[in-house]
Amino acid sequence: MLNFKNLSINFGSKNVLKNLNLAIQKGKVHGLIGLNGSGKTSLLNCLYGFVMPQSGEIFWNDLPIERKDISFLETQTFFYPNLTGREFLSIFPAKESDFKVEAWKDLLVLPIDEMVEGYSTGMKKKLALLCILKLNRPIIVLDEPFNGLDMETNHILEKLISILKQKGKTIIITSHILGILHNVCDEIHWLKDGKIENSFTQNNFQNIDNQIFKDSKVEDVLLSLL
Amino acid sequence: MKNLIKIHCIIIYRELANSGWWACLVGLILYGVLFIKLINSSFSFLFPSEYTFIFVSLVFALHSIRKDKRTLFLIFPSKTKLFYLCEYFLFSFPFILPFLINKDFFGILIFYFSCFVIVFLDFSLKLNNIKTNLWLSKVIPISLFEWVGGMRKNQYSIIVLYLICSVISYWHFAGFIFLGLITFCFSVFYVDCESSIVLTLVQSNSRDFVQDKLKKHSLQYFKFASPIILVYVIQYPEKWIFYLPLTIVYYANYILYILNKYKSFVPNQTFRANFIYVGLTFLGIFIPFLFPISIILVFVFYPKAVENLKPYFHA
Repeated sequence: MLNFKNLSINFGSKNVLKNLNLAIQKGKVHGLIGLNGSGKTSLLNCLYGFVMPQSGEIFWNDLPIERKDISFLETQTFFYPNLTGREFLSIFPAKESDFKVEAWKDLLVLPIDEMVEGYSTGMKKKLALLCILKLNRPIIVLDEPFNGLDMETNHILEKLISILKQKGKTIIITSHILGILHNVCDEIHWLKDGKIENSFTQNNFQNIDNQIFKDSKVEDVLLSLL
Repeated sequence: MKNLIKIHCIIIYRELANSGWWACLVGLILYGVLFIKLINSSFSFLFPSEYTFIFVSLVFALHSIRKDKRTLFLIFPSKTKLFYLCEYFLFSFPFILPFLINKDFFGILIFYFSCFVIVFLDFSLKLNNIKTNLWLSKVIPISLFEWVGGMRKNQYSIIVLYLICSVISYWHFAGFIFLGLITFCFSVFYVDCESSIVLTLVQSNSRDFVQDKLKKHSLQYFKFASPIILVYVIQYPEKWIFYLPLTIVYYANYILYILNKYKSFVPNQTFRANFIYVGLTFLGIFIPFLFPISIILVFVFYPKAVENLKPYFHA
């Protein structure tokens, strides 16, 4: 079990997370949704240790979490210049020596021996994904992984997530594409104003839209403008 | 074109301002001493012609490693070369000025002619575009990814300088200065910051990370530099008083490039302000009493680098 207990993060006078409590079951896929600036990425950064919380703790199997438990796919993928895909992948240490680079390369149709600068956004995302798969850690954090991917790779990524779940990995995904989250997640948590506003299980995923946009006056405003 | 040169002047001014007043002061002192020494032609181990040669090599190295070639080509497709020349003439003028005053004015002619040759041949742009070479990661371990990427980008300029250095070493001690130039070229290996994920892959705290980085990269540096150093040890055993301190200063300069990167590390960013320190330490080589400047800076920058990286190693 991954437990966030009373987690608070402040950036200056702004409270990004306010005493957030969240329990994430082991071996399940959890989605994290929320508007821009709601604190999703801050929560993930805090989980990986890039942001120090003002208060609260994160536990993994009842022990304080360590970075070696987590693989993190950041929203903005960055690669060191003048390296090939294969070289960049080699920087990441493999937990098991049988990471089959060639098979992955063929599956994802990735020109792994070309310079990364020539890659498209989708290719960069695929390479970053390979890097975190190579680390083979129990918790996989994917910050907006579906951005910039083509339909085929989206499909592969969806399948991959479900297979990783079967292998016992705990996966946290943030995304603005609710349709895909519906397909892959066991539970979706709605983050609003630094707190978990609501959690949805597969049975009530259809209520997410209604809940999030129940107070929205966008349509009225748009009608008045156009 | 005038506006872009003006912008470059503003950038240099800002970088100087960012480097702090003391760095500017040290730079000014270095320049002053160099100026006086050149007017008097009073180099103890370099002739003015060699000094010109070193400046030409410096322009060659800078021209090879500059990153804005493509952008400039897009802005002035027909006047790129003219722009380079204007820039090199303008920014090198303060250093070439002493030649106008002393009897070695021919140095200016040689320097300007060489600039023409460097800019008009411009082979670095074409050769560096050949990016299919995959041998580097087989020779250099991928954990030294700065070396693999940096060598791939600048291999031709570094190889040319390395060859000049090796050839000169057989007939003149001044060739050792070229090792300083090659070390200076290595500074561009450390202007790009890796992502925070890559940063935290192996080590669990910032001190271990910096120490490990320095250890591995120092080993690679000496692998590269040792053939040249050995040639001098064999050729000029009696001149150890020159090349021993020079080797130490070159090594300190190299370490400084690494520490400078991590002192101001921001994930996924490219630094340009580093060149101020790089330039200062390079000039320091020519002024004997300012030799220790890079060694002192190593001790100043090391704790700052460790401190700056601490937030990335919270977990």
